[in-house]
Order: sequence, then structure tokens, then C-alpha cells
Amino acid sequence: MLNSRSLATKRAVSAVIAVAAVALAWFGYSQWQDYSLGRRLILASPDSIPSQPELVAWSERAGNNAYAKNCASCHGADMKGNQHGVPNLSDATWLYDYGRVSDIERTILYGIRAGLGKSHNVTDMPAIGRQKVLDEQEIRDVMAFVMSINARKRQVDPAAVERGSKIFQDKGVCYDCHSRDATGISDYGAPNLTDDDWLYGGDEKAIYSSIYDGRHGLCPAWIGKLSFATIRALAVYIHSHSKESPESPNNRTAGVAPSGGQAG
Amino acid sequence: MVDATVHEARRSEPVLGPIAEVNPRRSLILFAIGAALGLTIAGFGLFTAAGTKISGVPAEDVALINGRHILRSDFITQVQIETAQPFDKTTKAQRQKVLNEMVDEELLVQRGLEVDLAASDPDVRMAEVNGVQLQVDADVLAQQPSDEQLKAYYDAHKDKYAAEGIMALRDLVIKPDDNTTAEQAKQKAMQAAAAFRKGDGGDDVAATYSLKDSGKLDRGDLFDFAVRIKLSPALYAAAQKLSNHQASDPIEENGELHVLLMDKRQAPPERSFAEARDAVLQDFKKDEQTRVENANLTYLKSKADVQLAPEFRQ
Repeated sequence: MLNSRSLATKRAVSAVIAVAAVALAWFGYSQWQDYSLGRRLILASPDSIPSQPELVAWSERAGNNAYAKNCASCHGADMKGNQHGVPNLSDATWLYDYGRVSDIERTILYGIRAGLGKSHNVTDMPAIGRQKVLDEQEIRDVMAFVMSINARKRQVDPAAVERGSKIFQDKGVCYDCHSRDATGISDYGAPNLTDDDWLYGGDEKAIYSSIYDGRHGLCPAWIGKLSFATIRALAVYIHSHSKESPESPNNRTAGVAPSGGQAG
Repeated sequence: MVDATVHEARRSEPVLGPIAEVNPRRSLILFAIGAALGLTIAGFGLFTAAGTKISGVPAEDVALINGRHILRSDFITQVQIETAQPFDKTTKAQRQKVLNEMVDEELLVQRGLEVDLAASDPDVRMAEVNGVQLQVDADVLAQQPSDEQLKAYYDAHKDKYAAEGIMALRDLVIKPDDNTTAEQAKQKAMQAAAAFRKGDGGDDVAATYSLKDSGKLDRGDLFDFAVRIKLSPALYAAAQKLSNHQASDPIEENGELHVLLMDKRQAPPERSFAEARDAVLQDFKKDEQTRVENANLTYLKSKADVQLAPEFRQ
């Protein structure tokens, strides 16, 4: 009797050990898979990753977690940002560069005006009114000009538009960042003023405020805070939920018409 | 014969023997498997942890120069910048050229540190100072203060968020001299102010009471900031208190008596918190930045051995 009980106990222990060994082996295997996929992700050329389904799938999982923890508080769970300067990540409008995986990764690594030498920080929108570069009337004229060329159609005084156009191209030096045709320059993070894509709402008050007080949008740098594999996965994740700019070198060969970036 | 039979029987048993029986060999084998597994997991963790110093190049780097990393991401960006092409379309030779340049640059940077360039080159010093300040400021810049914090800041600094007012102001002066005692000059100045308050024009007042224009202010409408630049703080403070057609009491400054006559005053319009929010955010961050920069310097001084010449010791 005692022997048969002892035998049963030993069998049960053996079974538990076997299950634990299998679980451990499975855990080890999945960790190894995870590690090797993360490594493959880092070693891959970033802009080639979207054509590698296995890496995209891994990034979707890892990127989703990292996005929810670190990015959603500003950009929103739906990636659509807000009208207080946080850009929409789900469209084809990019303030900096073109929305390729390598571009997004760069922004995540070093941030925007995040205090690192490699951050996107070539320029700010200066406080043109506050610094007395333009007076009140001139600011109103530039506003009229911007509203006249913008896709959101509004009633504006033609005389003010003409004066504003001259100020834009001359005294205000607005063209220097926004370009002569006001379509923006993504190297500077200077938005397109001709589309209806606005970072700060795009109503008259917001435009006035942008010109009078300037803008200084920020995104933190994540280098040193997240692993390189996580940063790459986040970049792929965001890329797969957005669209590259029509101006992206990847789209140029496809013959897509160019556009620009988000404005105030 | 018996020994041979037993030996044969043992050989035919499985290596680990029946699971229900105690088997020293099985214990040893399981122990060895466990130890090997443990060592594998520990080794994996040890050699793949971020920052682990190993002889190979980590996956996130393209090169290690004396232990310093050249990041793959930086390399890709550099290749794209130099070739103006997507990385995938660049040739191996182009990539190699960029990598060589980056390695050279890293070597020169390390040499610069070795010979302590910052000690002799003002540009390097300035770059290091700016770099450290930027690092200190990074968290402040990236931080998003709450609306409550901004509102409290706005309430404490309301003056800053008024738009510029406009004033048409005359600054008349009279100086005591051989013909006019200080007391007489003061009397004239007070009479001039009273006459202006009654409705006399500025030019008439000046002519009647022998006051001269100080020449500091242009005639006509001026923004408050323009008046602030041109007048002394005391005179500007007095001007700010005046409304339309008011005159100040005589103000003595540098041996002269000034009388300020306000022809026209358009008070600075106050901006609500909602209107000024963006400016408040910028100022809030700027103040925070100054605070953390000062705190950083205080901390650095507290742990540094700073010795000053006797005449500068406090």
C-alpha cells in the first residue's frame, strides 16, 4: 500500500518536472525567438523592413506596447494628436522629413528640440510680434495673406493680402523657412501653409498667436530610455499606421504628387 | 557468470532507469542539465544586456572605436545625407566611404579629448558649455506643464501678458540756473502741470512757464516699450500712471525738474489666460530652464574644489 502511494507521488513529481521542463524550454525558445527577431530588426536596413512581414509583425506587437506606454499620452491612442501642437501621426503629413521608418526612428531617438545635438532643432517659429519685427497691422496683413493661400477658404481683404504677401516675402522673412511658395521646408520642420492641415487649430486666433508669440514644439528623445530594438519597433509600428509623404524618395519613383507639412 | 548476467541486465535498462526508482546516475544527469541551462540563461543575459562590453560589435552599432559606439541609425542618416539617396539604394562603396569618414571623425574627437582641446580652444569650450546646458534643459523642454501650473504662473505675472499700450507724451524740463532758483523752478513746474490739467496745450504751457522739451521723446503716438527705452525707470513709472490730459508732479532727476504731460493714453489691453496661454507656456519653460541651469551650477560648485584668489574670496 505504502509502496503504491510512494510510486504515485514519484510519478506526480516526475510529471510536474517534465511539464516545468517543457514550459522552460518553450519560454527559452520564445525568448530566443524574440531576441533573434529584435536583432534582425536592428540589423535590417530600416526602410526595407516594411517589406518583411515577419519583422513588421514583431514590431506591431512590441511597438504597440511601447506606443501605449510612451507616446499615446501626447499623440493619443488613435495617433491623431491634438490641436495644441501635437501632430497627427496617422496621415501623410510630416513636419520633419518624409515619414520613412528611418525618419521616424531618428525623431524617436533624438526628439525634437529635446536638448540633444542630434535633435531636430534647426529653427523655431520666432515670436515675430513679441520681438517687434512686425507691428500689429503688419501681423494682420500676413494673417490675411496666409488665409488667402490656405486651402481653408476664408473672407479676406484683398488689399491686406497684397500687403501681407510683400511682408511674407520681405520684411517678415517668413519665406526663409516656409519657402517662397509657402509650402514649407521639412528640413527645418517648417510647415506647409497652403494646405488645411493645422497643428494649432488654424483659426484666426491660433494663426495670430503663432505669428505674435512664435512656436516651440517639443518631442522628447528616447535614446537611453528605450532599447534600440524597441525604438526601431516603434518606428515600424508608427510607419505601418501612417503614410509616407508623397515627397518621400520612396514615393518619388512611384510618381505621387508632392504636398507639405502641418502648419500653426 | 552471475556477474555477467547482472551486468547484461543493467545494460539493457534505460540510462535513467525506471522513474520510480532512485538512480544516482539520473540525479547527476538532471543536475548537469539544470546547471547547463542556468549557465546558458545567465550567459545570454550577461552578453546581451545593454551596455555590455564585449569584443563583438553590438547589433545597434556599425563600429566600436576604443569602446565608443557609432550607431547604425546615425550611420544610415549620414549615408542618406551624403549621397542624397535612400539608404537601400546606396552602394557598398558609398557606405564604406561614409563609415570610414565616421571612424576618422570619432578618432579625431577622441584625440581632441586626449589633448584636452577644451582647455585652449574657445570654440570647443563654447560648444561644450552649450552642450551641457542643452542636456540640463532637456527634461524641462520636454515637460508639459499642466494648465493649473500655467494659470498660477499667469496670475503671478499678469503684467507681462498685457499687449503694448500707446501714449502721446511730452517730457518738459526746467533747470535751476543763475536767474531761477530751485524753489522758483519748482513753482514754475507745478504751475505748468496745473495749467495743463486745466486744459492748456503743451506748447503753450512750455512757452508760458519757460519749460523746454527734453528731446528724448518723439512727438505723436508711441508704444509703451518705446517710451520705456527712452525715459529713465522713474519717469516711465510716473508716465504709466497718467491718463488722458493728466500731468505729473515735478520729478527731479540729474538736477533738472521734469513734468510729464500726457496728451493721449491708450492703456495696454490685458490678454486673458486663454489668449496668452502660448506665451505663458514659453515664459514658464524659460523660467524653469533658468532654475534648473542655476541648480546645476550650484550642484557642480558644491562638489568642485574651487579656489579663488584672496581678493575675490567672499
